[in-house]
Amino acid sequence: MVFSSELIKGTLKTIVLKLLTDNDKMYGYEITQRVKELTTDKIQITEGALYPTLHALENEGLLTTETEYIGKRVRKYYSLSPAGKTRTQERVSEFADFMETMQFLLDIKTKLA
Amino acid sequence: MYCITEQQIEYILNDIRRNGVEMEDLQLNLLDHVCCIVEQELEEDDDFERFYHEVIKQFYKKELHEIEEETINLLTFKNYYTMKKLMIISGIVSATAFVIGSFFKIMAWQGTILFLMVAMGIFSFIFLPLLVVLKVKETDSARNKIVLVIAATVGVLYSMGTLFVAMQWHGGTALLFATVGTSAFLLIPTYFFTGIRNAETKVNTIVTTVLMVGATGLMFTLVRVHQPLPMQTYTYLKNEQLLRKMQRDTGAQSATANKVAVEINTCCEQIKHIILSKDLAEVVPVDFEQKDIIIHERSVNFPETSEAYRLLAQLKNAIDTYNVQIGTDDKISVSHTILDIPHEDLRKCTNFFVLNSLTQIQLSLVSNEPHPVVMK
Repeated sequence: MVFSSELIKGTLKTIVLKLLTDNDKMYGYEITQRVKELTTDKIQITEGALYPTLHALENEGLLTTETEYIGKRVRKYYSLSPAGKTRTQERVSEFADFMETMQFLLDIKTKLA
Repeated sequence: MYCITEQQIEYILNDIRRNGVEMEDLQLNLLDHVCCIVEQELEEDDDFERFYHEVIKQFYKKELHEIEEETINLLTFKNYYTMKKLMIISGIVSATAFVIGSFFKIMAWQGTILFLMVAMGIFSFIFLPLLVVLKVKETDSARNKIVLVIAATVGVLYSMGTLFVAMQWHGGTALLFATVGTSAFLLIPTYFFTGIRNAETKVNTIVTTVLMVGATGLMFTLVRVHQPLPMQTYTYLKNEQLLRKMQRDTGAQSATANKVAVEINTCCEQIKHIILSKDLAEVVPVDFEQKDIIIHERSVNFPETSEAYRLLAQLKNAIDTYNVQIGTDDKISVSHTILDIPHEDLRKCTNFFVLNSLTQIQLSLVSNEPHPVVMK
């Protein structure tokens, strides 16, 4: 099963930020592949959603970039800025809270219980 | 792993550009991304172009430049809250300035104009444009966006027109005409035909259109279609002409006859000069009848520190002295002239009232002089 893009849209920033916490620097294609790999293809980030998000995060000062020339093309690596690191923690714990609330709201029984 | 050639890279970049992606940063990101996919998934003997077009299709729903639009949307969204905040603040500031300015106007205090100008300026050039930008972003249909822009233009024209008319600046009437014209021939039709198509908004559209026609009609009633003749100017200039003629006829006697009379005349001329130099930037020429001279009515302002205020006091003293010296029948009456107005009410006087008052004082002075014809 692949999750709908609507579900992913609200969490894409958090996903990107968290991935960059665990990996020093990543480029766009690498991010999509890593997410696919980690979620066994359940979450597939589209290019149309990823790049706008990366640009927005960079504009907000949460990401820093460096470029690397590979022959004729340029690869842009993204990494977390200090502000981005704090923001990641905030967003992850915000999302944890959100999940708890949703569990309660939608009356989802956890597997363990 | 497929080895991508320089020509192929060039081909991809050109295709991305041709499809409307203009941000260089985004172009390079997409190029690298496509290259990675090609390198990972394409077999050595596969068709590159066919594969590329299949890959790039997965990047978008309708067209490739969606990605750029989405990026721009996200980037400006950050400013959205700042803009909204600024819009609300500017709205509050301009409304407050309106209220304070109106209160000042009722009390006839100084500073009314400043408050009203600030209010109208902020309203027209900060509040309305921000409102349009934010509303246009929220609206999907292109027609509604056009209606919003036209409505805001009418708003700016109206508030500027009102300001220009109130300040008696040139072009006030033209601005109000433009307001009525834009509203009647552009805003109302566009608004009406946009809203009437939609069953949900049909009734609302009809009601609002009627209200807008009403408002535009009322505004048109207030606009002066024909400029009135400058009759006040004519009256003043004719009086002035009469005064000069009488002064010329009695000239020989009055120059030496009475020092006080000379002082009165000089004071009057100086005050008139101060007023006229603001209206005309020159003195009234002798051949004014051949020229198009128009003096616009305005309030005068004589603060206690001004030269004109000092001259008025001097004039009052001189007339008092003169009246003591002269016979009862020939006294110069200052009642209902500028000299009769209490100091705190001076700023309620118009330039015409002051000019005419002074000329009348001079006329009564010159009529007291022995007339050459009578002498003969």
